[in-house]
Amino acid sequence: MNLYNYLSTVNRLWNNEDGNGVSRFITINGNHSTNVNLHVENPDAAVERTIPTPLDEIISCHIKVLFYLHENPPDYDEAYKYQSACVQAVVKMLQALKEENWCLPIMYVTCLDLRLLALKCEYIGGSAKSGQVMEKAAECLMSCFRVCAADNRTEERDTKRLGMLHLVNQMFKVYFRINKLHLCKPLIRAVESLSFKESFSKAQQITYKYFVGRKAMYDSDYKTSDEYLTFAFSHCPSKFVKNKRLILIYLVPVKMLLGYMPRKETMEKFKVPQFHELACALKQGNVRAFDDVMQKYESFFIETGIYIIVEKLKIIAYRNLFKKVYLILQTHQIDLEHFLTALKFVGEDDVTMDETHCIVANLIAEGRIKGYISYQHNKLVVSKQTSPFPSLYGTTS
Amino acid sequence: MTSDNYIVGTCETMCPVSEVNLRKKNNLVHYFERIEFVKEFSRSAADKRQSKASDLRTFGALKKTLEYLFSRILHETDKPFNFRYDFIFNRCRAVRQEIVIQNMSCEKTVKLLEPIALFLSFSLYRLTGSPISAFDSSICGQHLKECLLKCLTCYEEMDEMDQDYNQDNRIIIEGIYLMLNINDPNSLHRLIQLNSTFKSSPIIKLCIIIALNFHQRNYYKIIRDIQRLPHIICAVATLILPQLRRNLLYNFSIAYSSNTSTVPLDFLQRLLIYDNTEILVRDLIELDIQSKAEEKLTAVKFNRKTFDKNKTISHTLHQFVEVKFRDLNLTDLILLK
Repeated sequence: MNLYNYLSTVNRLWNNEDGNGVSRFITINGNHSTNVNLHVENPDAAVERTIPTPLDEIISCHIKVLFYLHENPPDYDEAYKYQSACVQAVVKMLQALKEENWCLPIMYVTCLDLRLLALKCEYIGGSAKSGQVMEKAAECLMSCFRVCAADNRTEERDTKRLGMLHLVNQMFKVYFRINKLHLCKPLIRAVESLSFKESFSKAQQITYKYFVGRKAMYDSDYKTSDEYLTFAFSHCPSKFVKNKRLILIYLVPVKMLLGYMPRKETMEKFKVPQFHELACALKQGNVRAFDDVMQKYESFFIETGIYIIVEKLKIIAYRNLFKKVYLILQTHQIDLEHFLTALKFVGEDDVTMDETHCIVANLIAEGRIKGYISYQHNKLVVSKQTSPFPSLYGTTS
Repeated sequence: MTSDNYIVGTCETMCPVSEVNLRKKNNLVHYFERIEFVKEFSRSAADKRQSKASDLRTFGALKKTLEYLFSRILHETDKPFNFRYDFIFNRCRAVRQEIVIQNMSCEKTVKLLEPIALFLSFSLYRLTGSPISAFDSSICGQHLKECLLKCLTCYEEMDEMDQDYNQDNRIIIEGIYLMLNINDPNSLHRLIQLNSTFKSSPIIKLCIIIALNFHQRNYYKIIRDIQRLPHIICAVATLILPQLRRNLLYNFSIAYSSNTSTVPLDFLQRLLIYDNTEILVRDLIELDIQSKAEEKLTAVKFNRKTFDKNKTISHTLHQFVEVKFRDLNLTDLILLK
């Protein structure tokens, strides 16, 4: 295929309003991408002759991107620059094609490529420009998003608002990468207010719920997090083992914080034995073993960004340990000395009576123990009627 | 943009001649400038011409300026500390502005910013709780945060370029940053992602443990551990002490809630490390746990219903911090000598 063939093919697909067709020819990973005939530095004149506005600028930019990507060595910075110009041309196209949305696939591929190129630039450039290119890319995606979100007069079938979720997901990926999660909030609000949010493709919905679930986890909103991540996990097809595992890494700690312990078989199936060991320590109330598991898998927890969340589970280990003491003693007035002994028994060597008081007080204040402490008698007094250690579900504050 | 596009200062004194003349003429001489002038901070405005090289100080002059501020002005004890703070704060701000205008290298930037950050940290500890007319802790905190963040990005950049710098200084700056932002899980997350040799420093290890205990709500351990922190980090960490005390007292007001039994004050004083029972009782009253100060009060009754969740208690200076500063030379400490 020479440049002329390429251009006339694109032109024909465009005239047929075949958005998917055009999109296949403007992605950096298309079949045409490696074709040396298309690696032209100055395609403007040839493009102008064959391609109508507003597509011409998009195609010109795309060919330049291919040119810089296939230089030896590839010039990613220049390629990114033209990809960014390409997305800006897409914005113009979206504005020009009123009340129709067949062109959305064009926006999808150019936006995806923009993010991937930004990632590549940052990887090559090292931390010197850490986050900068990605942030610029997010601004670019935002300009597409604005056009789509504003298209609220068109009928549901033809509205560009159907492209919003794809863009939101791309922006989530950027914001999570550069650690600017607060920027997700307005996007979430925009999507949640759509009347037809259920009609987006399953894949897009899963990605969306995955990120919103993770965001809710960092905001300590575990109920929402559980709901979104559970949706993502249960709807993600079984063949995408890697994705399912990724969702699970965030879902499991959230479930554990809500009081549900993971099953050993599931953890083994998805190769996350870390959580099983953690759950064992928690169930035993073995505070020390909990710390040991944390240390053993420290790098896993840090890399996945759940270290601090998982550390919060420690209070459950204390609760379970004290519950065991209660069950052994079978009394409603428990001397705090027994709790101290239990803590020392599991290996908390430096714990004092003062700290024991504080831990028990904390558990009572959080509603994990029903009872009160009598300082004079150094005793925890628990209720005779109701269970002094309410089930973990729903007690997490 | 390359560094060539930035002006490089040539002024070798603490204050450019043009400013000295202007201020003398207009009678704008500060009390502390009877002997020597120090360049004042002024906002860069749109109508102002671009700074001249002769109005900007060299790295050496900037360093000299800070040394002068922290060795001479800081000890001008005939004026109260907040008065000295105001002057030094302003002059440091001018130094920071010149770092930006001249786009100084990371190496030079941290050498200038580290002392400023330490001064602001110390001032925040010393002056928080003063009336707003004497000290604005939120402005001080905000400037401190900017200085610290700039230092952190410089360290990361220097790491990236395999450049050498003083690791011990970084440990102090990182420690202060974490203690100041202990509420924010991101600041802890950032630190635990750093390389393990850095994390193995005992001070950083301790800071990480404190922040983890904060997220686990083990306030007892935090209060115990912040006392082990070195001087300025410890001072900054005590800024969260009112919050920790309040939270523990809240837990107690539920756990020890009773109409009959009491909790002795010396237990609370020990746990919450109050220097004396007067301050403890003042805070108990503030939180509506105790109705009024009584003579020979030795124990307090907790009641879950009376605790007012909206109330807070205020920052005080602490003996265990003051002791750390007693035998230290503040100038050397701030200038990291």
